[in-house]
Amino acid sequence: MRIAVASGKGGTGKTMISVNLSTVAGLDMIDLDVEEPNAFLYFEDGASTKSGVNRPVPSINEEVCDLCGECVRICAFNALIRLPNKIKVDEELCHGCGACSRLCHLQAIKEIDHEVGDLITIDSGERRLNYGRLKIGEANSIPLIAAVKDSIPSDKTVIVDCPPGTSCNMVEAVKDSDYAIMVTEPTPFGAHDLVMAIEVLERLNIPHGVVINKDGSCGADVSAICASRGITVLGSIPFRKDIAEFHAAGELLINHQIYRQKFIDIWKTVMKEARI
Amino acid sequence: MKNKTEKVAITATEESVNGEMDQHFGRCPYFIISDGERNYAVKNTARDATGGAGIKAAQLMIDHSVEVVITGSLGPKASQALNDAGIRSYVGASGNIEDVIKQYREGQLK
Repeated sequence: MRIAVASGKGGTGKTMISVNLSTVAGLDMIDLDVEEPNAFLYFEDGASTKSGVNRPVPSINEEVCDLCGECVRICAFNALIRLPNKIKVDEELCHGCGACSRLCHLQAIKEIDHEVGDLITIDSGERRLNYGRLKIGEANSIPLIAAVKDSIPSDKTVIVDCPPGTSCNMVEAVKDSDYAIMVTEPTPFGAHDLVMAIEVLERLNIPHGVVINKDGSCGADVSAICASRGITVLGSIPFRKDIAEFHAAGELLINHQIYRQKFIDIWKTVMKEARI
Repeated sequence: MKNKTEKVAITATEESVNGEMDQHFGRCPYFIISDGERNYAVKNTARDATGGAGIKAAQLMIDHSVEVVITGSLGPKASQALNDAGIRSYVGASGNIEDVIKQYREGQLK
């Protein structure tokens, strides 16, 4: 079972909720924020392994190609261009759909590997974190997010830290989740982006609840938004300086007695809501 | 003189040679193509591409055997594609299309 932790707005506390909840629940974790992963900071003690993740891109055999241009016409992403003397591939624009190589009437196109990043596993002995790190300069995160997501079988209960936003990266990360914990903050931005993210989850038919982080910091009434949409508030974390200090020092909040119970209670509510 | 007969494409806001230039290469509505004898408009089919509009517009230029592109700005992918195809490009131009063509033909465009 996959429990996604997502937000809409960035900086609401997804990773903070993910690392504390997964630790208190004794679950493995996946960090799908491949553009800027940071959950590993809480897993530094474990042994780590790394493997490359690739996506397919076309390679054209110029000796066979007759410059018919069918591959250029068929490419939905404009990744190919027919120059006077050859077909040129833009690997950045290519989505690896494979249409060009399948439709080439001379079989002049084969797919080769284009490296997109690394899948990294940290194993502390008790728990495991799998995360992705996108290669610098790589524009398309989706193949890496998909590979990291699939690196832990879906029959295992796992907390999935998702990238912010509501675009392709977030959709790919939350897709196939059994439940989503939306982390928000009571600011106008937090409230606005929460609604957008909830609309994504509704479209994907993913049951969800909300954790209000930095509760009391600002006046946006996210509880009212949840109530009006019939969404369960799973719990809240207060806006306090000591929390920021613990988190900035790389400490888990659950190691502090006053906050440990909050995460235990949130996890109990999640288990009930998600029927774990 | 070569400038007189070269096939030149200019990014345009409308289908007329009397109109104003458009500042974007990949997503301009039209190209006005001039071969020294006549001018004609070509609809930019790359305009609504979700990505790679610059490359698709460059393909359009290649398919129309254009030799010179005059526009406001050119992205890095489009610039590379035109370069690969041996098409020269001028950026930073603006104003009335007929005037710009005249300036180019007279060798005033830098």
